[in-house]
Amino acid sequence: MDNKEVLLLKRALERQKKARLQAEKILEQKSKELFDAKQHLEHANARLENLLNEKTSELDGAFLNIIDPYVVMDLDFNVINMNKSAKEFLGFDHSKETVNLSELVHEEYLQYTMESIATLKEVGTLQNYKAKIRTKRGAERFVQINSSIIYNQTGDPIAAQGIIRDITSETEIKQLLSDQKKQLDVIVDNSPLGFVLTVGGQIVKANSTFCNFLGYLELELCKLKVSDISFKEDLPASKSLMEEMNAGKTDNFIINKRYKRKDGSILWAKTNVNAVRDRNGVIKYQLAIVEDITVEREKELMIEVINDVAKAILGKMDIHEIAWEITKSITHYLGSEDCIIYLVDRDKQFLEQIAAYGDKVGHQGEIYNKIKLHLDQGIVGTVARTGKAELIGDTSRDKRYVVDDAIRYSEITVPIISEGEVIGVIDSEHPEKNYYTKAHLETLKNIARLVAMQLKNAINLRERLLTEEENKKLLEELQRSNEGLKEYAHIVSHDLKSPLRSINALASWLHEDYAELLDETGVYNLKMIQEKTESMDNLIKGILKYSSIEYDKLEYEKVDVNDVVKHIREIIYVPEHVNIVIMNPLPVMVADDTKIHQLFQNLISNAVSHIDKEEGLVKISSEETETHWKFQVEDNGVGIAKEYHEKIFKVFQSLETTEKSTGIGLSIVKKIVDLYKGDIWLESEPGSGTCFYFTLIKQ
Amino acid sequence: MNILFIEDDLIETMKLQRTIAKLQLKHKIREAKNGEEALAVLKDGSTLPDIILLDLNMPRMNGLEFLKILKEDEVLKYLPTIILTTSENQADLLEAYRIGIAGYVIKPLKHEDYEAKLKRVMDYWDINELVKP
Repeated sequence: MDNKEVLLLKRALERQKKARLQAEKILEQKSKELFDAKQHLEHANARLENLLNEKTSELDGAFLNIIDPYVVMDLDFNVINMNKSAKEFLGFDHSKETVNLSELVHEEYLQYTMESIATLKEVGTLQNYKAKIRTKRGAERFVQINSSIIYNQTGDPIAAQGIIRDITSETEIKQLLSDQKKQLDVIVDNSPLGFVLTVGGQIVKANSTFCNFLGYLELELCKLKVSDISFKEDLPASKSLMEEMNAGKTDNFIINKRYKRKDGSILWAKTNVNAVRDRNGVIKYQLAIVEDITVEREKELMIEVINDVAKAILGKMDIHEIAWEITKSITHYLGSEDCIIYLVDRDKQFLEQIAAYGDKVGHQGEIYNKIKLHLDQGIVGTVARTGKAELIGDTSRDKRYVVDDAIRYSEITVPIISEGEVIGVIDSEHPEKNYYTKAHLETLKNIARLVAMQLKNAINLRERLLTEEENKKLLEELQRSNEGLKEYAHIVSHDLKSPLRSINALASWLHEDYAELLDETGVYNLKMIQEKTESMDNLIKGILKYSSIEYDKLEYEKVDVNDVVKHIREIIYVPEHVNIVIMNPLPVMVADDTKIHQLFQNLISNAVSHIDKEEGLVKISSEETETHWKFQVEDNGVGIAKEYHEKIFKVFQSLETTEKSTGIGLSIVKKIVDLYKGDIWLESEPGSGTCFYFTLIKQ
Repeated sequence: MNILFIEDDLIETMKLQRTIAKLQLKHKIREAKNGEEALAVLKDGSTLPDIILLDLNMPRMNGLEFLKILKEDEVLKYLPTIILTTSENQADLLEAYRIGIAGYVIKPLKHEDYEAKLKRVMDYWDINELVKP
């Protein structure tokens, strides 16, 4: 190593020594500063602590001045300090008397109080201690106390301080509210109405009544939506109402709807839905008040179906039509698929199916495989015999059950009784067991009562129609034989008239050719032959006329009886000494002109021809009664003895034997009067005249 | 006129003949006893009658049956046919007119009335223009 190098090293060493000395000096200085700072901090700390203590005392002072009662007590409940408010509230002053706070606590709360103090000591604070106390003045108050432990400088608990809040009125209100809530709960739970709270269709609360309605527990219900306990068919109606409510248009609506019970059966209810809204009008929840109207509904349905039936059968007289309407209404009402009406045939002792609804019936209303039951056969037969309605819940256990088109387990069978006699049976079956109810039975009984009379009438009508049908056939036969008779009368009359004409011609030729050869008697006899042929010809004509008077051939036209009489006066032979007089204006009536002519002509010519007086008088008059015209044809002729008054109206009964009298004239008169629902009679005095009276109905 | 007289009754035929003679009418009477016979006469090729006097009640083919056949014949239907009968049956009258007749005369009872009626019938048809088929 050269000197230079050594020198360099010495210098460096020197620099390093100096630097270390310098560093040591700085270190020493820093330590001193640190020490000083620590000393300073300790002072400051002590000062702060004092300051803190002072502040705590000041704080204490502030407590003493706060509005709420403030009490400091030792750990044995002896009051150490209290503010003015506490003095007022608790009714004593700790500076004047010694008070142990535990003495104020109501005995019911003592246990709780001791426990609370223990907690307080352990934890250091106690919030929300609540107890009933009795103040020095004897008033009972509810208090709430928030308290904390006060420790001494060494950290030992020496006292407790607390702020008392008088919660007496608050507690009372709460109690009241709770009482009221209980009362309300009692009301709600014991109400016959169901209460349901829902939020957006979800059930959140339901009272016991509603739970009982549906057979659910509340817990189960709260898992369901309204739609779960409703019927699909009813949803559209409630949905639209609900939408209106959601839109704020209504706060309330009432709907009659069905609810599905847990067991699947139906509950008919009137539901009053109310919206409970928040301040902004948004629906918080819906309150539904539900009234069970199943019974009313059943009654309503009963009335409805009875009304339906009554309306449907009104004015109908056909058995099948009536029965069909009944089965239709009943099937609809029962919600069934089968209903049959049987008619009892007493003569033949069986039941006939006359109308059916359901599978048994075709498009045209015809019944497939009509079965006939003997009276006493099957449930229907029994009901027909006993007249007592039956409700059968399980036909498989009923020996009487007769299988028609299918086995069904429920059957309801009601007799239709008229005048104490079963005339028919209404029968409905349902595949489910115990389907039909007593309400159904009542309804069907009512319907049976309602239709009994009309059905009876219809049955009578059917019987009458059958009789009428027979009568019609008889009548047709009669008409045919009548036609035959008339034809026969024409043929006979022709066959009789032709020889008469021949006889007449031969007699007149005899007279023409041989008059000179005959003596007076011969000529007279020839004349007699001709006269006899004439009277026989008249007789034949009369018979023909009489046989052709028929009711159904009557014309209805206006007939002026005055004209009729005038006309007759012209066409019959009236001797000079006989007068035909119309005594009063005769009526214009609606009748068959020809018949009226025949009637008057016969009577007038009778009258004229029986006149034996020098001055003959035929008087014709009329009067009006309520229903008939009464005519009178009076003459002053020979008169008729009493014993002939009946006889003269019979065919071929003539009182004399001239060629003019055929004995048919009055029979024709009688027949015509009969046609016009009238009477004919006479008063007569032999020798002084006859008066014929007759009546003709006004049309 | 040539008259075809269809009548089954002998006396009736005598009545007509005697009446024509008595009234001194120049008509030629051709007699037929029923419808069948009358049709045979009409179809035998001889001169057709100017009018037909027809009785209704006859055995075999009666008057109305004969009338129907006559009216269905294209030629014979033009022959005026007058019913001469005792039948006052309305049904016969209507049916005769329905089929087609030229008159309906009822034989009266009294012979003198018969003569009077027949004279009027003859006179009436005598002055009528007739189709000669």
